[in-house]
Amino acid sequence: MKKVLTIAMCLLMVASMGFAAGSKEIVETKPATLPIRTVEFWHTMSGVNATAIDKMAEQFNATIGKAQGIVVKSVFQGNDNSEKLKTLAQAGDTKNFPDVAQIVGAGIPAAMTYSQLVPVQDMYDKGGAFVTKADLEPNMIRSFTYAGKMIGMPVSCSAILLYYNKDMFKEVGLANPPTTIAEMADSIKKLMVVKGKDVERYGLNVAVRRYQLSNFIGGQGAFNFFGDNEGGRLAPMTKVTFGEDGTLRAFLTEWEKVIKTGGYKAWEDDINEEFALELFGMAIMSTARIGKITALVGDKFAWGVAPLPKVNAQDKGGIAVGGSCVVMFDPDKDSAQVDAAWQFVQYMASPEVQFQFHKDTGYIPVNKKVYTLPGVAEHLANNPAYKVAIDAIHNSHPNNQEPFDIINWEIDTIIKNHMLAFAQGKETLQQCHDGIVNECNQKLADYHKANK
Amino acid sequence: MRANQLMRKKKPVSKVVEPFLYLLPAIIFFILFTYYPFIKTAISSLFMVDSMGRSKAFVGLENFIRVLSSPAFLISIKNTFIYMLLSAPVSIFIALILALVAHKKTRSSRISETLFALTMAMSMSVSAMIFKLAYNPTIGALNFILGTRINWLNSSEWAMVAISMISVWMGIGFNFLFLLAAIFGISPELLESASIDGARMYRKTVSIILPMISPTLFFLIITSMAKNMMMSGLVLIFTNSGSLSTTANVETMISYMYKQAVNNLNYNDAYAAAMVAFVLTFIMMLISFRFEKKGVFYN
Repeated sequence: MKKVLTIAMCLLMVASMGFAAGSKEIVETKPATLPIRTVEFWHTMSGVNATAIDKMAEQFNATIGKAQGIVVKSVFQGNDNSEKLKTLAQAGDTKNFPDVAQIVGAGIPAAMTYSQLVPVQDMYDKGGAFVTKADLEPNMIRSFTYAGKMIGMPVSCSAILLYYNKDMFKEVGLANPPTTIAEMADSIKKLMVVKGKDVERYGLNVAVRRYQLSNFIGGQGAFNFFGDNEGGRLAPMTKVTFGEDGTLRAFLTEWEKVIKTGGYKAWEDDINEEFALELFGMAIMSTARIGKITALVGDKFAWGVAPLPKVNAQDKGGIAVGGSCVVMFDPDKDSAQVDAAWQFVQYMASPEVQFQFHKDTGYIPVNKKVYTLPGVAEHLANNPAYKVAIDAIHNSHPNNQEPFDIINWEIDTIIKNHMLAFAQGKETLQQCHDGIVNECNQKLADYHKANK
Repeated sequence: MRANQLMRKKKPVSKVVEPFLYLLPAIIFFILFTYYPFIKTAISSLFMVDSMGRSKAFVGLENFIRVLSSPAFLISIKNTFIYMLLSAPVSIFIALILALVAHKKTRSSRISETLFALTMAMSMSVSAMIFKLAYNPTIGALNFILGTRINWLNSSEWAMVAISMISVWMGIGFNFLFLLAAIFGISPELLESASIDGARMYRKTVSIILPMISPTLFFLIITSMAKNMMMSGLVLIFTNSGSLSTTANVETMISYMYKQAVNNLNYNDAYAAAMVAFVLTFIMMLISFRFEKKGVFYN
């Protein structure tokens, strides 16, 4: 018995070696005329979005890649690419940098410090690009531009929106979604249902964090930058300016109306599911949720999206571009490798690819030429929610951006803690205002002290 | 005699070196992954460090003063102690009851033993996701069953209790296995003679079983205490997924340290927090070893 088993194991080993050799052969039988270049691409997407972005890479490999001998290897790296790149940089491990990495805007200042970074602007300066800068949305170019130099290529951009339950609005006699925060407070009063001491149905659910606040601040005008140096876009941001220019106070004054209704849910649990279960009438979320909400709600009730309510009725700033870009690196000091990566980067921002990516994920197309493609008008007519998001970006001033605040996580924590305390009545407007301003400035000062 | 002396003279070099050779792999690992990082952290905590991890200037205790006067870190210390005091003792207590129930062999023993130990096989992230759904204040199972409207994960009173409950649940299996083995290790004659003398279950448990399994209990308490003082995984799953409105309610010392270092690249706060966490954990260990001398009965 033992002998039989030994022989069987030996056979298995030999067979598996054969498989291994076989798989290697497949790699080597690629056309020998072109040397194959592998471009490593780190992305941060999961779920449906990951499938869409992997599809992008596969289609590139099957088309341009095949013609030019480029193979893009798409790798999911968790949602903290910027931190992973920083770790590599700290270790001096330049070799393991990817060729292309997807990062959020806040990661740009750190990426600028890596010697391996190849700004997208440098590639444009070389000439010969098939996706030109003029093709791209100006708001999105500015999102990933530092000191006048375009650093990253926008790929997956989103917008902040007000989601509302149309049936619920009709039920309480509301005709249209609110356009200002004050109107939103009035809507909450009508939408909320109180039973005894408990709120049975809320009017609004949103936790105000850095993302939401930067939209409310920027929306108040074309030159409210959140922080100094145009929110860190000309030089590193050293302090917040929303205290000095009064935009934070203006927002908090309006927001207090929302809080005072008693029908505002200031923390988020399972916001998608709860919206679908009609536990509140309105929510403030990014366009990235449209697909999820569509799937969850089905045809249970009619819902829609509207532009983010303004702080003051006369505000014209609009909203900031959310989402992420891709940045390029040259780990091997090999310009041919960078050129190969540049082909893929442009491909990701090209009209057809962006249209497909938009349909797959709901991200807003970064390329203006998308709107000239056949089928787009029909698609947007069938999906009015996307039309609202695209219009909201088009109606916004490019200066309205999320800040390059370097210590974005700390700023986020400070804002969300104070906003929650304000909503729960644990802090007054003044305490909340001063807390956010002083703590943000303290953290920024600490950072600059250590990083002179 | 002479032969003996000769042997002694020959032995030293190889015989003295030999045990150290056996220890070498462990020592190398300890130095590389425990002692060296520890010493580096201790030294770095006295320096100003930039976001690339480079030491800039000696600042003495400045980092410690800043961290220890930061409300966020002080809350994280409080949270850590709540977690430590809640999770291990409750988990061990429940596991002990289960072990006492299960130690009498019956036909269904195998099934019950497997069921009680099953939580060991659950991954932490999966458990966290299951509990997250159960904790939802409006659509979660827990509030439905209890008939309450507690905002489990987002309230300053309940958040740490909620996190501890997950750990209690997850720890039951491990603790159960150890305690069951310990109870099986008690000689049956001892328990039998106690029964003959008329001792009931309660008397047997307090006077025989507990003292006899005290070394195992002590082991479980000590290991879980050290582990729980250093807990960060559960908190990071909840806070990094962005599913909490405020993370201050559940932050522990190590999750605070992790975020300062990894998310914020603020090594000044991170090194100081790490040292504070080490000192507090060390003190807890010393206290529990003190308890060992008094409370543990070795056969």
